[in-house]
Amino acid sequence: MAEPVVLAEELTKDYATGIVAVHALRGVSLTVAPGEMVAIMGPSGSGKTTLLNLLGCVDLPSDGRYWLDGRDVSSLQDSALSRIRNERIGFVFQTFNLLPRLTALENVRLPLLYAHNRVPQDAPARALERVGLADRGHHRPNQLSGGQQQRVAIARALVLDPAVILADEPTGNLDSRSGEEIILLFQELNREGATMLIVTHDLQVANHASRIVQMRDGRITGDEPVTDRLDARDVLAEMPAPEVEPAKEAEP
Amino acid sequence: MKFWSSILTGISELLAHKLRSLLTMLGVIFGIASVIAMVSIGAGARQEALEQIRLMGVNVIQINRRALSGDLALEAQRESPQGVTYGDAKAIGELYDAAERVVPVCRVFGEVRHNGTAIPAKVLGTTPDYSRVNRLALASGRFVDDGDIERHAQVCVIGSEVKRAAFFLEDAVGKNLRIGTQEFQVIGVLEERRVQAGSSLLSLPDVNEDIYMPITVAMDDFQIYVEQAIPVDISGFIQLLAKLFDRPPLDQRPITQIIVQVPDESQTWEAARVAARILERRHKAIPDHEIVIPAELLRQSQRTHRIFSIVMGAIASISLLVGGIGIMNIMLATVTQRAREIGIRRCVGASRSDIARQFLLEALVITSIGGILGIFLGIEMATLISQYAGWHTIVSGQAVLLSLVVAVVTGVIFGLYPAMRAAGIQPMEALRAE
Repeated sequence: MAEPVVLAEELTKDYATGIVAVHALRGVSLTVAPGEMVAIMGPSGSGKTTLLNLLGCVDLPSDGRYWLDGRDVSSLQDSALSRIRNERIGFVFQTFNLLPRLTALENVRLPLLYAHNRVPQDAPARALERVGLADRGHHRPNQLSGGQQQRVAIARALVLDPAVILADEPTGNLDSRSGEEIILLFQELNREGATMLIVTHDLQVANHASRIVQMRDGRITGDEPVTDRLDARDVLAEMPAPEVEPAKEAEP
Repeated sequence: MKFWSSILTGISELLAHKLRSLLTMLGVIFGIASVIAMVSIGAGARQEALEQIRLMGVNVIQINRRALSGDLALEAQRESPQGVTYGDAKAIGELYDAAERVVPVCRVFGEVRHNGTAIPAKVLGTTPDYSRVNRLALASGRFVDDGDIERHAQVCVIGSEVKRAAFFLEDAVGKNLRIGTQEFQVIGVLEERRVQAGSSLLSLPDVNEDIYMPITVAMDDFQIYVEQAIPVDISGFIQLLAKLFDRPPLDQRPITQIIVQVPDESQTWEAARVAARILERRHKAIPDHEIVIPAELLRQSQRTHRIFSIVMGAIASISLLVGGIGIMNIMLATVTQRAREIGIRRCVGASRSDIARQFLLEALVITSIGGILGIFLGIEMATLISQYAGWHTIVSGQAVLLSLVVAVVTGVIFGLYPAMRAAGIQPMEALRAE
């Protein structure tokens, strides 16, 4: 078996809120092999977002070890962690989180501003092309539909070729068709070799993954491969065709 | 993150909120303008002092003739009819041993003409020491000497401006000039002297339009012109004739000024006191003269400048403080407002120090632009002060540089805390906040 992309051992995270300490994670161990597409499910408060923060290197565990792509990152300093986020991790959020004053292309270029190594100048344009928005590069987020904005965000996540893409409820703010299209894009990327972790509470979304991890009260309560995996292409084919084009027509 | 992209982000932030940015900058603009004005005034004052020292030294006092009016004038007519006289100058020279030089000066109010054209000039009769006290340099010829005074020689030394007006490019030495009703031979031409504008407050003569002649000649034949124009009517003419025939002895003839030079500036007060006592006795306490101590004038002028500088400095500090706090306030608001942006940047790889640097640079962009605007305003202020207060101000490259440094330092001081706050924002919390 290839070296795992994500190897977490007994991660715990406690938050001190006033007098009561909140144990958000109570010992989570998780291994994700390259090319896997893992859905993390659980009710709110189950600790899935906290786990995603730790795996995404935006927060440090209170205890436990975490290897990302073979490197122990559980005790790195901020600047080293930032570099890991920049180079090894791509984030996709529920609310897209694009900078409103920048164009799509500039948003995709954002990670390059913080890159330490030289990056080919056409990387942002290629990433936009990959998500099917080559012609929307000079549009601002408010000139794009929700699905298109999420594609820009995915292009931004892809631009530096990360080891893992972490998505937090990526379809939560989209209608079902746009959401399915995003899932389709994820599946395509996954087939091309991308490792993905998707936090969701939607079983329909989770069933597109190769494996589902269940969480509750800061612990993993289930971890099983998906036996009857959904293919987004089939799902889309069964959906009624959209009556109107959902994309806002952008002003030139 | 690259430096320039941070700067560009800062500038686009400013442009996105133009009015807010301008208001934020105001304090810095006024603060920097005050810095410029303060430094310029200081530099001007320093220049003025150097000018006085260069041109005349500060080890002199001047005793000037003073016109009286009313009852005092009547009393003066009786007790001391001639006012300041040649004899006074001689008495000071004899009685005050510490005096290095005592120079009598007699202003002559005669019209100067050359080949029929009137030439603007100030005509003074004096002694050879005058050129030493005033540090006059000759371009050609020589100054009035003791022989000229002895012989009552009809010779004169002219300033560069007079020479230009009368002879233009020709050699003036040996030529004649008509002063009043008589011909004078030019024996020397002074070098042109550049006097900085603004020195007018001090008693520096502008020598370029001066004409000097032996004091004896000035007192002899031009006595009648002292402080009166050429008479136009008959009675004036008769008076004039009467005076011509009724010349008082040399010592009692009026002159306009006595310059006393002492070895050192510290003796000027003493010189003034001694001269005052001598003159008080000789003039029977009639206040028909005034004593000027250039060193004291200079000191007063410097003091005024310094007070003004302190006021400007206080304005500068207060404006910069208030402006800086304003910037800090806006930057803190911005940090809260832009928490999501910070979160996004952190997620795609910005470290805490990247974020801190970005916000610090934005504060620096504000203060630098404010500083540059302030420099222009400051130069304008310096010009206005020159015009209305008559002070000499110098806007130097150093002042501009200092202002920029002050602006940048203000930006760093007041931008640091907001930048640290920005760096401390938790990315995921910021992104979750709606």
